[in-house]
Amino acid sequence: MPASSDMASLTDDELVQACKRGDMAAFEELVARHRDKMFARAYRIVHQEEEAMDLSQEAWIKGWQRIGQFEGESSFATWMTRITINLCLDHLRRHQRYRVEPLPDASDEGTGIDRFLPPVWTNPTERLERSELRQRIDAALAKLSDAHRTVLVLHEFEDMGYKEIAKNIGISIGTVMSRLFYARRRMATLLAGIHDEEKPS
Amino acid sequence: MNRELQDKIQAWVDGELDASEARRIADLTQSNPTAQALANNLRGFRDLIRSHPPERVIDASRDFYWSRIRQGIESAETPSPTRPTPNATRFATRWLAWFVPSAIVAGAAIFVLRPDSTPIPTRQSQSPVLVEHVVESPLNEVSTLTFYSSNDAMTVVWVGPADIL
Repeated sequence: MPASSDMASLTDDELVQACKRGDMAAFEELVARHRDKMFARAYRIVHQEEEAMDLSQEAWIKGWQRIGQFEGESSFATWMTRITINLCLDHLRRHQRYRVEPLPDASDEGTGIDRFLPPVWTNPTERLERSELRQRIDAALAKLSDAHRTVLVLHEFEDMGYKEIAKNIGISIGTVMSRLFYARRRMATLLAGIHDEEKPS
Repeated sequence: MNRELQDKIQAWVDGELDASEARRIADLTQSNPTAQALANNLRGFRDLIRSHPPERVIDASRDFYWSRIRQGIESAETPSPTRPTPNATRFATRWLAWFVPSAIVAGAAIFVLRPDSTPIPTRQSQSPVLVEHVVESPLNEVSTLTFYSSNDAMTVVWVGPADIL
């Protein structure tokens, strides 16, 4: 068994094999390598730092407990991502955070309501720094409800299709589509700097 | 634009439509400027978001973050004191109860048959005397009662339910 100091030189696969033999130092190395990615994924879904921290740590504990079931069909990071996402979705479900509050400007079922999706750049000459743009996107995501943000995050960042999202959250594909459209429109509006109250009635 | 068409355009942009439906929507966006604008805006939004995923890093040291994970792993792995279920306890009690009489009789026999055996002192040495010492049983549901008959030079042991003896 390699010493802890040697762990850094091992590949993820080698560390996983060591974990399967009960080597917790190998698992610590895997945690150190991927902890930020898992935390970021949890944060995108729950959008609360403390919750994301707790959930990501809980995911790692589950990862250790299930490491024997990991057969290497995907990368270790992908496998851990699934555990993290499922844990976050369960968390939202347990706290009934998939409920959609009545929307002030447009309902998902709306007819005759302005459902225009603005282009994300109102000013084509505006050039934002990459980090600043990320911050704006993050701030806009924070303004979505958990229900809308989750659908958007799973689709745009986790690359899930409508069917997979519907199955994971337990909603219909039609609801996935309407929530996704609403989330996109709201985000686009916020990113374009157009406030709802400024829109023509 | 009705909602159905809008959802179809979104699904088309997301690659969720089958081939024939995708062709129909593609043709529509060529001839309908509103549909085309919506498709373009959806694509623009999707490309922007996907290329700028919000990133967060953990604001805690490696040791601090790991310590809680290790604690969670260890507490989950520590075997809790195995407390038998009530059914299991009852089953074990019944099963062991078969051995209690044998053990007591064997103990009494050894006591009586030992070479330097002396009679247990009694208040009336010529008549059977009930010696009221209940042998302590390890099982709550089983109790025993013994007496020594000096006439017969033997010890008799009753074993039965605790609520009767």
